[in-house]
This record gives sequence, structure tokens and C-alpha cells, in this order.
Amino acid sequence: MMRQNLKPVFSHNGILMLSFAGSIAVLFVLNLAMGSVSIPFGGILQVILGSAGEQKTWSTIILKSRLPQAITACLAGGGLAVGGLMMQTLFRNPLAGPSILGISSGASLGVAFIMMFVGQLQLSAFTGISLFSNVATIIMAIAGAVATLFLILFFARKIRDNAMLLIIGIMISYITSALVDILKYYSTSEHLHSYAMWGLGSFSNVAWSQLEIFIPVVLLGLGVSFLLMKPLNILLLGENYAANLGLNVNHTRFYIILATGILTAVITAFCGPIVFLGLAVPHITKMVFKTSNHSRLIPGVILAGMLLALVCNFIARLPGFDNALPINVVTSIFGAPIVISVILKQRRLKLSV
Amino acid sequence: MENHLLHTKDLTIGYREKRKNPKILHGQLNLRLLPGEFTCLLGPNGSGKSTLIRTFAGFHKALGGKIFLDQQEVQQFREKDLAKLVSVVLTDKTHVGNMTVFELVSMGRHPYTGFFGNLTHDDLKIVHHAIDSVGMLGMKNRLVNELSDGERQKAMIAKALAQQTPIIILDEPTAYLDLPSRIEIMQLLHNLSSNMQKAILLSTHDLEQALRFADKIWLLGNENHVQSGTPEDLILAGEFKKFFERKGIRFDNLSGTFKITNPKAKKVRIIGQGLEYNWIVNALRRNGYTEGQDSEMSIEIRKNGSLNYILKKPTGEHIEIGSVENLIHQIKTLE
Amino acid sequence: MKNQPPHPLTLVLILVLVLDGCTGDSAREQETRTNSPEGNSKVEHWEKTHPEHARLFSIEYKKDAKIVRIKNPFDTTRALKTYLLVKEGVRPGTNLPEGQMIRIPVQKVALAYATHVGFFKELGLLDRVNGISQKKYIKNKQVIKAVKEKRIKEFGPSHHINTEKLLQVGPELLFVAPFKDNRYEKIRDLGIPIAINSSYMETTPLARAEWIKFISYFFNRERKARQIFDSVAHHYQQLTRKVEHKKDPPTIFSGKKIGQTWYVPGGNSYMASFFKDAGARYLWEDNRQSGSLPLDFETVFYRASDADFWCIKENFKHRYTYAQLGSENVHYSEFDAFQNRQIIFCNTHSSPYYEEGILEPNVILADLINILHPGLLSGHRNKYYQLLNEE
Repeated sequence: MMRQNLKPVFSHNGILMLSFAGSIAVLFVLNLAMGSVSIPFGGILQVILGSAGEQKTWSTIILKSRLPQAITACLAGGGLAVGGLMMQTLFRNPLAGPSILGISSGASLGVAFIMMFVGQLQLSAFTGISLFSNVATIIMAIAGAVATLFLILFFARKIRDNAMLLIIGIMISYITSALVDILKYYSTSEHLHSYAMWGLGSFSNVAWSQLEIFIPVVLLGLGVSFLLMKPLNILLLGENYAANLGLNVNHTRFYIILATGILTAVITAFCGPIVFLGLAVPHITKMVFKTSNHSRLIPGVILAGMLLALVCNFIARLPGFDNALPINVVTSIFGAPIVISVILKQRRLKLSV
Repeated sequence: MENHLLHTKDLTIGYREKRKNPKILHGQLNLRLLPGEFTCLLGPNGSGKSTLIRTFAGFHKALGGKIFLDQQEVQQFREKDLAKLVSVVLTDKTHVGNMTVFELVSMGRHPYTGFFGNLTHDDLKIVHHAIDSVGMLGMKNRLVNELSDGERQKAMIAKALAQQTPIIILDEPTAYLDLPSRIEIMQLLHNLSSNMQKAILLSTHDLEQALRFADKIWLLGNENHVQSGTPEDLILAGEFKKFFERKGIRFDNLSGTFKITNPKAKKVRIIGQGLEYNWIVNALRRNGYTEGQDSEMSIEIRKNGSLNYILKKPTGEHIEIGSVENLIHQIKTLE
Repeated sequence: MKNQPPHPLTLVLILVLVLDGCTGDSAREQETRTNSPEGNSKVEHWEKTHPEHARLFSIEYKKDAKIVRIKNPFDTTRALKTYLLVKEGVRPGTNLPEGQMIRIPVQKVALAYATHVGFFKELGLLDRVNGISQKKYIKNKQVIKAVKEKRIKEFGPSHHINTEKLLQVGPELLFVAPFKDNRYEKIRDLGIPIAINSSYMETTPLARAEWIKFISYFFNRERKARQIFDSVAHHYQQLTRKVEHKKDPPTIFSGKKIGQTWYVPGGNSYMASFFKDAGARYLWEDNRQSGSLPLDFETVFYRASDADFWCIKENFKHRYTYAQLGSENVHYSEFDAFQNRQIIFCNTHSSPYYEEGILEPNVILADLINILHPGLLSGHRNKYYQLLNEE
């Protein structure tokens, strides 16, 4: 009796999704197998099978460094991509990304606060957590992001017009940037350096114990996005049509912003502000899948985001280079040409019909 | 007691501006929509057509009075239930360009489907039927941004049909269409309303098509004046004259169209009748003349083999002319 | 009181008095200088001292001037600056190269970096300092007291000097550290001469300490500088001889992760020299760079996971412990050195490492040897480096 909204598996889009999934598997393995330290394939197998007793370094590198890094990249890519898609649909703006509401700026402010300001105070710890630990940084990032999210949701209740809400988000970003700049000005060069390095983004700073929080929260955000598939489609018609079809536009807007906010907050807290993935992946997906239907776009975008993040992570840690490039450098090099091509395409195509 | 699907009681529509008194466009309206009737809302710009439509559709708050759907006040309906009673077709811009016609129309099933929008077998049948009703079954897999304007409107109408509401409200659906498309849509809507017993209300500028296809017309004047009735009753009661006449424009009850008037027009006598007579009068009127018996100038229509017009000038001269264009030209040179 | 503008002549008078007051000051100063022992115009020969380890400065003694050249630390083939140090009251000869002329001995200096304080203290020249960047970075008690008593004034953060405040300080010479940007452009425009102390660009401990001679040139204190440095070098070399031929040196590495990058000192760097001289095997000794290498965690871990010792310098306001280090990154506790509690640590917040350590490489070396080779030195109490606290 039930027929899916999705076309049968062997359609164009179905094949695409399968090939994305397959590529993700391949890239995942590549990310485990390759890095600045070259480990022979036999060694990798040994580690995975648990029989690498002698080679403690290999086991540490693969299981405690590369594996969490690959998982983080995967989830961060999917989460940011779907957040970007939701923002682009809600605001009907192709240049929107998950950070457009200023949430990752809020996270940055929290981190700047603890890296550059708290250090000046006499405090050393708060409820047993050292203020200068990795955990404290993550907590402050979440605090900053959540505060900004509350602010945005508050404004969303008062302002019906989406364009105005967008501008408020951008203004919040400006204010937080200014505050961060003040902190930078009065900070020592070491703290500045630490903050700058955080700002370049990294998938490598998430420990296994932290993944216990990261994984469920991101999966929750992804799950909510699935539930929003239908409302997102309806929103494409415009708010009047959507209301006429029985959609509570305000509630929907609330949940979209909440889901995107949570995803952006947690990903920025653990990985730093990652640029471009959220903006570029929805466009790539729309171009490849040739559809506006979210029942195909949501899974498509998540898969594409995971894939692209794994590719960027791989490139950033190419074997042969002792160093790892910061993630934002790689994503920008990918993302910027895409943004440019979107703008060029928009001149020729009509996006609103 | 007729079963009206929608009726209003002392409805006042208008809009509120911040810190000013609300601007009332029309007050004390008592209107009805009946199943199986195709109603057209006519009125000059600024008379509040859009406001009335949007108030009915629920996008706009009424300034006073009540609207009843099926005997229950509109305010008391939940969104989901309202969605099953009223569907709309608007001029709003949408972003569904990259969806297929099928996907677009199936969005009309939203009030009936679950969380993921999965369509049941019945849903699919309804969507198919809706697309068929507008005659677009062959294009169901085309992308919306590949359609022409008329086809796109039909797809939107199909979506409203798929929503299976007893009332469909349309806001200037034919505004940007060419004449054949306009006729096609109006005919379609009339057929849908009578075949499916729906109450269809639309606002339009297109007087001619409204007169032709509407079962009822609501005439919206500029100051608090709404008249409703069948087109014929309104014409015969002289309502159209009252509503639309302006200086130099006259509503002709016979033809159901507007004509240009000019009391100072020079008179020209026409000898002849039929089709040619009509169209020569048209040309004369356009150029500031009118036909009348007492005139020194006359035009005689001669149809012996070929068509000729004999122009007799006030000087007594007779000229034989082969086209209306030359005729008018000659008349004008006499000035 | 009538509300009228002053007579023009009155204005001229005031102007003249003001200008006179400005120039009058230096005239008086000139008198005191020629009376001081160093400025005695009868002294014809210099007490000379040349750098032996340091490679970034050189000196040439002429009859009535010293030519001090500083090499560009970012490109040692090029000269960065030439100073012509000329005695007060002497007209410099015409055969001198182009350079910044500075009258010596200098009486009033401003220091832009806390690290310079150590040099001045050892040379007994702290009373010549009348301006420092920011009190909060200084550890020297004498200087802090002088600031509180307004004998030394602050002129703002080194990366962004407040030019007005610097003008108020009015030094004859400003000591800075070399930077690639042109942050000192404004100060040059003010007409305040800048002396670039590039000690931090030297790659061996003795070379850095030898910059005390560079400072001494400006004050005719070469003899003192030579004494101090010879003593330091002597002790340093004594220590290195003790560990030179040790078999099976312990392995050591250094640095921490910042963001995604682990900065590791190059094989030819200052820290690498210390490690080698302390009889340890530095795990990146094969590297030829003198700066820091940006590496990633994997690379560092692969090479250093079983290193015997881990050396860390950290500016931490509170008590630094293994718990604190472990809380900064989950991977730190994977290192053997962490697990075996063999981390050599210096808290630069509380330690006078930057101010005094630069002139006491022998003490630093002794600290390291004391930890790397316990029992080898008797009676040395560590001043800078200690094994990291458990709690």
C-alpha cells in the first residue's frame, strides 16, 4: 500500500546516492590507511584485527588519531552540509550557509573569551575542570553558540520577514567579531596564536571520550533534518502557499533554526569554525541530483557532505607531507570556485519560478 | 436554506497601518459562495480585490465581522483542517523550478499525508486525476521551470485540485497570460466548479472573460460598494455602467464591452449595414468621429463584386475608396 | 579682565622662551656627560671585545668611533643596520660608512622587551633605563619598584607602542627585537633611534648570551661584558665536557600541539643545541633548520612516543601539572615520557627564564644535565627547569 516518495533505487538519483555511499567507504579507509606517517597495509590490517601488539605506535596512530578524525570529519561534513541546505531553503537564498545566523561566531566568541581573556584572570579551574583544558574550550564554544541561538530564536518570534532575520544574524556576527578583535588586541602573542590556530579548523582534536557526545548530537541533528523533509519542500512554495497547505510556518521555522543551530554549535565547538562546506555542498548536490525535492536532497546532501569532508581531510593530511594543512584552507580552495560558479549560473538561470 | 460553503456576516476588510487608523476598504459585506458556482471578483485597481481574496484565504486579518466556512467561523479552524477546506492559487514567486509537475502537484496532498509525505496508492490516484483534469498528464515529469506561463498556472491549479478542497480561491491567475491561455483557464475553472461541485472564487481584470464564464460576479466599487449577481442580471440592472463608467468611456450593455464616447465628435452619416457598418463606426469613433444622420459627410458601403466605400464630402465630391485606412485618412484631410 | 587676544610680540616672546627651554636641557646634559668617567674626551682607546659565538653582530673599532653592524636575521647575507657609535663632543671622521649615528655613552634608554632587562641588570645599567613597555611582563624587582616610583615609565605593548607615551619618556635609544613587519616605522619617524637586539635569532645558547657585548658597546662597558661572558662560557664548556662522551644518551623531544600543528624545534635550533650539549640525543637532530618545524601529531608520535624525556616550556599562570597537561589534549598521555613522569618543565610565567635565562645558559644547561644525568652534578639546585609536578 505504501509507495515511497523516492523514485526506485535504480533511477539516476538512486545510483548517485549509492556511488556516494561507496565513495565514502573508500575515502574512510583511505583516511585510515594514509597519513604523514606511512604504515604498511599489513600493519593496518593487524591493527584493525587487534593483533598489532608490538607496534604500539601504529595502533595509537590508527585507532586513536586517524579513526576518530575520520569519524569526526564524516559527521561534521554531513551536519554542516544539511545545515547549509536548510538555511538556503528557509531563507530562499543561495548564499546562505549554516553560519549565517551567527552561531559559529557565537562559538568563536566563547572560545576567544576563554583563550584570551580568562587567562588574564586569577581563576584556574571551575567545578574541577581546568579552564585551560580542551574540555573547557568546548564547553565555552557551546555556551557561546547556544547563547547566540537563543538570541536568534528570540528574534525569530518577533520578526516574520526572513530577510530581516538574516540581516540580524549577520549583525550578530559582526558584533561578536568586534568583541573577539578587542580580546585579540589585549592578548599575548601565545594566546593569539592558540586562538588563530583554533580558527583554522581541525578534525583532529576530538577524543574518543568526546565522540560519545559528538556522535549522538550530530546524529540527532541529522535525524531532525529528515523529519523536516516535507516542510522544507512546502516552504519552497513560499509562506502563503505553505500556510494554506496547513503548515505552521512559525513552528517550522523554529525547528529548522533549532536543528541547524544545534548542528552548527556542536560541530564548531569540537572542530572550530569550518568554512565553505555548509555553503558549497548543497549547491554541488543540487547540480548533480538536478532536483529541489528535499526527500532526495537531504540524504544526498548529507552523503555529499560526508564525502567532501573526508576528501578534504585526506588532502589536508597527504602522505609525504610532515605537516597537516588546516582544514579551512582545503575547504576554501574547494569551496570558493563553487560559490563563484553559483553566482555565474544565477545570472543565466532563474532560481525563482 | 442553501448550503453555502462560505458566507460572510458584516465583514469589514482593509488594512492596518502602524499608529494610524485602520484603512477600511469595504465594510458590512455579506457575501456567499455556493458549491458548483464559479464566482469572479471584478473591480478597478485599488478597490480591494486582492485584500478581499487574501482575507478569505486567511492571509489577512479582517478588520471586523466574521467569515464562516461551512457554518463554522474561520478563526475556530485548526490549520490542518482549514487546509482541507480552502486551497489557493496566487501570483507569489516560488522556488520549485527544479521539481517535476508531479512533485509539485503532489504537494497538494500535504494535509493528508504523514511525516515524510509518503503518498499512498489513493494519493497517487488523486494526483494523477488532478493533473489530468488540467490536461497536463503528458507533462507530468517535466520540470516546472521548463513550462510556459500558462502551463505553470495549470500545474498550480492541479495542485489546488489535489488538495481536494470544496473551495478554491485564485488571485489574478490569468494576469500574465496571453489571450488563448486566459480563455483556456477560465473555461477550465468553470468546468471544474460545475463538474466537481466546488465553489471557485477568482479575482480578475479580464471583464470580457468574466462575463462569459462566471456564474456569479462580485463587483467591487471604489467606495464601500459591492454588488453581486449573475453577469446578465448585473448588466441589465445597469450596474456595470455605474461601476465602470468614466469620462469618455461608456459601458455598452448590448455588446458587454466598453466603448469610447465623445459628445463633441463630428458626425458622419453611414449608408449601409452589417459587419462593415459596425467596423466603420469603430474606426470613426477611434478618430473622434461618430455616426449620425444629420451630417454633410457620408460614407456609402457598396458591395458589387468587390468592396468599396464611397465618400461624399461636404463639397459634394464623391471619392471611391478601397480600405478603411484610406477612408479615415481622407476624412481627416478634410479638417 | 578684558577679553582681548594677546599682543603678537607677547606671543613671540613666549615662543622664544619655550624653544629656549627645549634646547637648554640638552646643553646642560652635555656638560654632565663630559664630566662622567666614560665620557672623558681624554680616553683615546677603547676597551675592545669581539663576538666569538654570535654571528649576527660585528664590531669595528676606529679611532673615534665604533662601527657596529647587525646582520639581517631573516637573511644573514644582508646587513640590517649599521650603527656609528661616536663619543660625545667628537666630530666623526669622514671615512666612516653610512649608518645611524649614536652618541655614546647613552644615558637614557627605553626597553621594548622584558628580555632585555637581564642584560642591563648584569651590566649594572638599570639606572639608565627610563622606559619599559609594560610592567606586567617584567619580573625584575628593581625595575618594578622604579616603575611604581615613576622613575621608569611605561609606553605600551611592544607590538603597538604608544608613540605619545614614548615621546614622554624621551629616551635616547630604544631597544627592540627584530620583526619582519614595519611596526617601528612610526617611531623612526619620531626621530628616536632604534637598537635592534637580535639575540633571539641566534641559534646557540652562548651566541645569545654574547649579545651582552652588543649592549655594552653603547655604554663603553666592554670590559664588564667580557668578564661576564667569559665566565658564562667557561662554565658552560665545563659542563659540556662532563657529558660529551656519555654512551647511550637519553632521547628527548620538545613542543606541544597548538590547534592542529605540533611545533618542534629544528635540529639546528637553540633548544637543540641545549639538548646536544646536555648529553641527550635530540630526536630531530638530523634536521638542518634553526627555526621550528610545523608537524602533525602522527609524525611526532611516531618518532617520539618512546622518548625518554619530553621538554616543555609553558606560560601558565597557575601550578602546572600532569593533570593539566593531559587535559589539554587526549594524546599527550600516550607518550612514554608522560606515563613515566619524565617531563622536563619550565613555567615561563613564574620563572625568570626570559629575563635572566638568556644570560645564564650554563645554569639552564646544568638544570638539564641534572635531570638527564642524575647524580652527575653535585650541589646544583635547578633554577629554570624541573621535572613536572604531579599535583
